[in-house]
Amino acid sequence: MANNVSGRKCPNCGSALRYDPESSRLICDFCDSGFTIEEVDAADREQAQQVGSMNFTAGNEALQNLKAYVCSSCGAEVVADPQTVSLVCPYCGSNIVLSDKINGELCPDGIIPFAITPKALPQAVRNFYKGKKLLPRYFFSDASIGTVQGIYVPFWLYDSNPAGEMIFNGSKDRTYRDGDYVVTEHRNYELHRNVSMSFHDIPTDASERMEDALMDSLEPFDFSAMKAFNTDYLAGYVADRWDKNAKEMKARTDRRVYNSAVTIAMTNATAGYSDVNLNHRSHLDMSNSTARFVLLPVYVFDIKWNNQAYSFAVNGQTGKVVGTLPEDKALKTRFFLKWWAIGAAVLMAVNWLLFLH
Amino acid sequence: MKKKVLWIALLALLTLLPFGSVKADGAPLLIAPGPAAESDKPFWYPQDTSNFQFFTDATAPRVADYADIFTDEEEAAILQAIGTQSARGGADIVVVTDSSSYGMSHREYADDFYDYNGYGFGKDRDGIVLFICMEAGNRGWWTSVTGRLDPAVSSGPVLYTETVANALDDALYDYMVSGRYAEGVIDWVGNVGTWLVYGVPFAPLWYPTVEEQAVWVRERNASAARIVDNAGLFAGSEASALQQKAKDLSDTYGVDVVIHAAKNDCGMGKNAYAQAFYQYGGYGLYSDYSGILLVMFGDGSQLLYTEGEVPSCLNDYETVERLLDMSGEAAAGGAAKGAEKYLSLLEKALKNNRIPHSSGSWIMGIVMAAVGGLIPGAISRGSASASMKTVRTAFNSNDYLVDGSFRVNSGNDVYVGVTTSRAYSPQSKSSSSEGGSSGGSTYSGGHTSSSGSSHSGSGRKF
Repeated sequence: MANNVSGRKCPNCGSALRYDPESSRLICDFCDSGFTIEEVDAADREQAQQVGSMNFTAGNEALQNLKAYVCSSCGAEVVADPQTVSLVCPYCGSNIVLSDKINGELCPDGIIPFAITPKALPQAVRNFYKGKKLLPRYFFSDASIGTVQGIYVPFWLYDSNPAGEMIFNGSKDRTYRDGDYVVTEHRNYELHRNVSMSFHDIPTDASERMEDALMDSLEPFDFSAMKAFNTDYLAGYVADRWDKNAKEMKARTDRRVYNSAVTIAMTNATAGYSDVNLNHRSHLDMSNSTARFVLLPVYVFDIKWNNQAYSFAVNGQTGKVVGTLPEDKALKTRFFLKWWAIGAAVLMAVNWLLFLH
Repeated sequence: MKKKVLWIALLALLTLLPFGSVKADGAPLLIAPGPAAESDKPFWYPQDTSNFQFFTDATAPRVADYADIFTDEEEAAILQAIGTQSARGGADIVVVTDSSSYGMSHREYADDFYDYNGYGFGKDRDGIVLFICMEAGNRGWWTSVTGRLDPAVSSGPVLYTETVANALDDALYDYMVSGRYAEGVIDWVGNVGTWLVYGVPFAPLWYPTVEEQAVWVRERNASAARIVDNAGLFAGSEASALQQKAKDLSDTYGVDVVIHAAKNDCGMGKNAYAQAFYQYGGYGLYSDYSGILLVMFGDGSQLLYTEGEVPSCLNDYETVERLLDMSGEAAAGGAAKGAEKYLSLLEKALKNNRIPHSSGSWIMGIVMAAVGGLIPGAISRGSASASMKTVRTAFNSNDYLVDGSFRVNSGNDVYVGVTTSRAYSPQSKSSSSEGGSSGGSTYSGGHTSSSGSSHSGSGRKF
């Protein structure tokens, strides 16, 4: 079975092109040329007229879901798992887009291109470390950052329009004195409210490989920078297709929406009442929602410390860094002792000034 | 059962005519419990108070025991004491008991009894009445003063202040609760006499009378002892050693150093007592009478009194408290030890203008600081740990709410019932409410009785 592989080549020298987030252009590192996507498209069309389209042959499928592709640049055979739609040839460094995996419903409705370059990551990480007093010193070395991988992570963007009857328990209180007693009277009410509201572009990670909490922590993304999908944006990055469909992920999104709906309704529709809480008979219809598939830019890397890998992710659009950070026990003890000593010294000084002087 | 009332009425009729006569306004006089006894007022109460004119009746009985709590002998003894103390103090002293207050407060009963029966000396009707109410469930007493004894209308030297009231009532209380009524009243009359003469209820021997106070001129008594032990706290040798030390300090630092041990404050209040002792004792150096007096009271309390130029640290409340605390602690090993410690600390104050802290205070301070330091340590560590956590599952979608999309399409508030909670919170009592049983009297300064006369007074339940 033939697999279509899209690898963009320099119109000048034929070397592999990579997408440069800073200039939003395709760059040839070999001849130091730069092209817009439209320019490369035009050059490709011209070349196709000369040599015809290139075909690639599917490779050995013995390893269950793995598929083999032949690099259009060097002819090497590379293997990709079913979720991967873009990768870098390990032999010649060419960018390979597996076009057969991004057709139909697997084709993204949009993409936010990388705006942060890998060169900027160490500084972003250093900024992230600021204020992390208990972080082991080892992490502050740029060398600690292992291989950084730029990934277009598949996300579902949900538009949700919850509506229904929310019931709150609330009370109106008054306090008065009855002899030696202070009496508080609570007049209790059920507050029935028919509410509706709309949420737009709630991102939910659609990749099994990515930890949900890690991806949640990368928010927010600026969706106004969303572009129509073009495989050229994938050049130089790994990209995954979704492996958790929109229906599966809706329950997770609905939980977020429901929590917000309760808070918003409680805040805005129960004025004048105190001790307000949600009545379990409330019903909110969450069925009115839609989802679209997009790719969002994320850098991931691990730092190994004490024989354990700590995962980090960077929002490829905003540079926001998140990660699981270990605490250095020695630093923790020193930090505690330092503040204990400062606190004790201040108290002793106050004690001396006020009482012992 | 004795018919005291009838006896007193008969005695009055037989002795002096005005006593059993009628008042200026024609109202019947006391000691005639006839038909009026069936009314809601005591028999001595005027039928018509609207035209009442004040009068004085020197022959009215100074003991009216309607509650019949005194024997004849006791009553005679009380009368004798009253006669002595009234003559000594120049003010009327009256005691009345009753088995009911007739719906009046004790204060009203005492005031009205005094006013409507012609008690008091002179045009201002100077005097004091003690009303003892034996009504079941309402037992108590009230002392009411009139004329020059009333601080509301007088600024004289003998005033029934709250301090005096508490002192007299404190002394009377034990007698009342133990049923020794006559004994208590006789003691009370004696204390009242002392108060009338000296201006304080339990004047010490060195205290001048009111007349002496009026002509008293302050002057230094160079021969006055610097250790005056009226409470028997020091042995002879101890007193001598302390005397020498006090003299040395006085000579070295130019300030009189005096220690006085007293059984109590003689009902004057501790500050007033210390001041009186210092001033009437002729203490103080130079023209500003500079000096430092420590009074050690029998109840274990101590008071520092200073006059003139003394180290500023001795005018600081905290420092003086510390000084007294440290010497007080030392006094646990004997009063002389406490006095020695006091003189030792005082020397440091005179020399360095500061009182050192005890090692215990330092240790306590360090321990408290060390323990208190755990709080910022724990908070800082907790805060630092919290800052390490950057990966969190998204809980809500508030950031994605479309502006203006929230709608409340309809609402309905359904009343489901009422619940109440009650918290006990006693209201603060006013100062004129009834007092406690022992700790302090209910004091009323400058109230007006039903007759229009001004009185001050105090009372307690027992």
